[in-house]
Amino acid sequence: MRRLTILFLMIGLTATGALPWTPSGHAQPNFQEPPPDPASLYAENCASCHGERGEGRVGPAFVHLDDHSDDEIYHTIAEGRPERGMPSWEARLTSEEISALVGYLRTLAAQAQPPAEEEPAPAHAAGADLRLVLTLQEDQVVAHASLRDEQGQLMAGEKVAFALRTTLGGQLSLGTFATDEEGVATLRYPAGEVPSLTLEASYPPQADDPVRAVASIDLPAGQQLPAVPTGLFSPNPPPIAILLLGLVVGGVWITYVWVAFQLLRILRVR
Amino acid sequence: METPSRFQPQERTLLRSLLHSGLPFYLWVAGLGGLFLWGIRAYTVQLQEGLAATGMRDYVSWGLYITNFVFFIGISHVGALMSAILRISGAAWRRPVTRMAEAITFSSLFFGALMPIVDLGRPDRILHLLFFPRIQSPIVWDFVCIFTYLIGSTIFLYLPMIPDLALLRDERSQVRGWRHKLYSILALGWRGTPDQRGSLERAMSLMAVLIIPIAVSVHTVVSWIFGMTLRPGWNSTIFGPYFVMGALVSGAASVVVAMAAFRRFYHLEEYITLKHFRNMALLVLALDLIYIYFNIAEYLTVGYKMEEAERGLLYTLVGGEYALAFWLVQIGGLLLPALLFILPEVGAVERIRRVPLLRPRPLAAAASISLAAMVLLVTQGPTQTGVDFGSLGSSVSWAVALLLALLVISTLPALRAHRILAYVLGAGLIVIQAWLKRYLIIVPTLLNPYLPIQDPRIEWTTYIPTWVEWSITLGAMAGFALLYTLFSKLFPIVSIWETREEEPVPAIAHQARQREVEA
Repeated sequence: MRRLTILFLMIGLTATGALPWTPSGHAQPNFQEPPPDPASLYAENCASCHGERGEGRVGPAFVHLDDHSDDEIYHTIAEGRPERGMPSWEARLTSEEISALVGYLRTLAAQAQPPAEEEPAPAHAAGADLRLVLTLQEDQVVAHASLRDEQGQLMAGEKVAFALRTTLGGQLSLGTFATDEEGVATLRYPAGEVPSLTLEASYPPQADDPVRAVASIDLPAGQQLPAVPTGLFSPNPPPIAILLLGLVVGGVWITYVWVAFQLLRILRVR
Repeated sequence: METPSRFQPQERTLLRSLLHSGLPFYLWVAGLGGLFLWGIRAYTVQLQEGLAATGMRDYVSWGLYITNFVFFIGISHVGALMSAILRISGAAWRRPVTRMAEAITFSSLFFGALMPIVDLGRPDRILHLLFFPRIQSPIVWDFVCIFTYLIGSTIFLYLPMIPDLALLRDERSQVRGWRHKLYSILALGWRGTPDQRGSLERAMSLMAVLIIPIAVSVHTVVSWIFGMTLRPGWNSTIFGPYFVMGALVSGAASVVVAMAAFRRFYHLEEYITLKHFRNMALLVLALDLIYIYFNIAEYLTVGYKMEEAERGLLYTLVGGEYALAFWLVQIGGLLLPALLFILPEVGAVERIRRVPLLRPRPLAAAASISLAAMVLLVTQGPTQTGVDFGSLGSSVSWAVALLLALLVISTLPALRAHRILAYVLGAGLIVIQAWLKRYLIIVPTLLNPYLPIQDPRIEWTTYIPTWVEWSITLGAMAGFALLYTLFSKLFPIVSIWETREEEPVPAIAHQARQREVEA
């Protein structure tokens, strides 16, 4: 009986913590309601990230939807893609609503396809001339990217993307900056502790084959560190700190040796 | 004190547990040995394939191994607590349990120190810490502290054992062969002369004082490995004392579990009585409450400010992916044990027996019937039964919850009757909590960095431990238990001479045991 009570006690604790029903009952499917209207569902839940017509904002546009089956799209909506910021909708939408949304996305994608073709790479991008110059001002690298069209005219108000080329061939996006009235986009980047920096400017941003300009700058030894306030950390610890640490740890070990000496005395008494 | 050649009756029981082992013991050792070897096998796979054999990738670079490391180092603190603090404060009841605690320190520290090496892709480079140390690095501090503590706690385990080893050496009728040789060497020719006693006393009292700051430094530095890294959730000033307290509570709880196991399997009922369990339970309860307070202090201050980067982490813990584990730790691993320690002390609990409604048997029957009804409703679903799922379902689930709550209340008087069971249950929950809590400190933080990688592969930003990691974890746990078991077979797990000094006249111990049986 005692074991039985313990068993029930444990079942009870797990069960009360994980009751499958919520008292308010709002998460339960209701079979009396008419089928959901996907357009309003989309406007309520999806449009804020993917755009009113699926043209993409924070979330991507529905341009590659044809590469995926209905099942895949269903699962993407249901489970989300947390690593890309897409939440899971399982808890908020019923399976019918998600299925209805899948169909609606297909129609949106069909409508969005033609304008999506037009959008990247404006006509004048191909012949644009992009130059990147890096200069060092105090402990910051200043990157000037100047942009001219094929006639050599300054291009103001255009967006240029900057990226940092990392050691092993990677790229770290540093964001996009608009050109001013002289056609120059400017980025300031802290010099840090590296011996040299390579930056890349590209125009237009997010195009498949943009115009690129790459520039490197060597950072002089004297300019290297003061970008980071050091706090208690320091590349060369003060000798007094090492001495103190050595005294404390050494004291402990000297005590161990003294204890060993006491053990020797016990052994010697015989 | 003279060393009598004859053992007292309870000491003979202890000696029997030392010298004679039955089949269950061999099965236990074989099982643990098998698990340990399986862990070694998994490690050879990791050595061949590199850390790619684990689930650790770009985001989570410290997974189960560092969880085990912090867990083992935490458990190891009990030696300093029990032996040093209680020795200095002169708590006489500690005597039968100190060696159990010190042996836990030794075994867990051994496996704890191995874990960071297992976590290295190139374990040979651990030597770089010796040859090219940078004094600014917390890893170097950690290395120094843990090595110092390992040596110190081994000395501290050994010193009070010397008179016992001499006792065993002199028991020629039962102790023969290699055992006699081993005890003779380790006893250092102990005869109990005033000179020898003076040397031992001096060494022991100095070590008792010294081991406390060393132990505190070890877990503080372990916490600094996290606290001095700029990460959400680790960026906290409380981490040093938070880790020390977490270590003390898990270590003390593990001693309660060990006490129950040895009492049961080595028949040490006359040594370890209800009094010892109660004192230990009070100690664990006090530490547990302080640790709960630290947890509140840690999460409340972070949650009140809700800094941008901390927000993601806190949401994952409190309501997200790790919510179940988080609340299991806080409620099941800290609050529930506190109740299990407190409720047996509350006399009013007895009155529950007199309430006619609160009888365990009928309540258990009613609860299981309604539970079965609930399960039936869930599995059959609304389509098959055709009933309105929502209202019926929720009323049935409320009924089940109520019945289960009543059932729990009705079993409370039983807790009072079986205190030791309640204590061991609570302590076991705390030990499990300790491991899970370390996991929650490490993994969710690594999954929520200040500067996320842009467009990474999915497996870079998730962590699912592989069979290699689970096998090595299991192997390390088994290895710890094996080392502890073998220690208890090689050396007396209760300090014979110190317990004699306490003068536990067998009659008193016998009376205590009688009281316990009656209770």
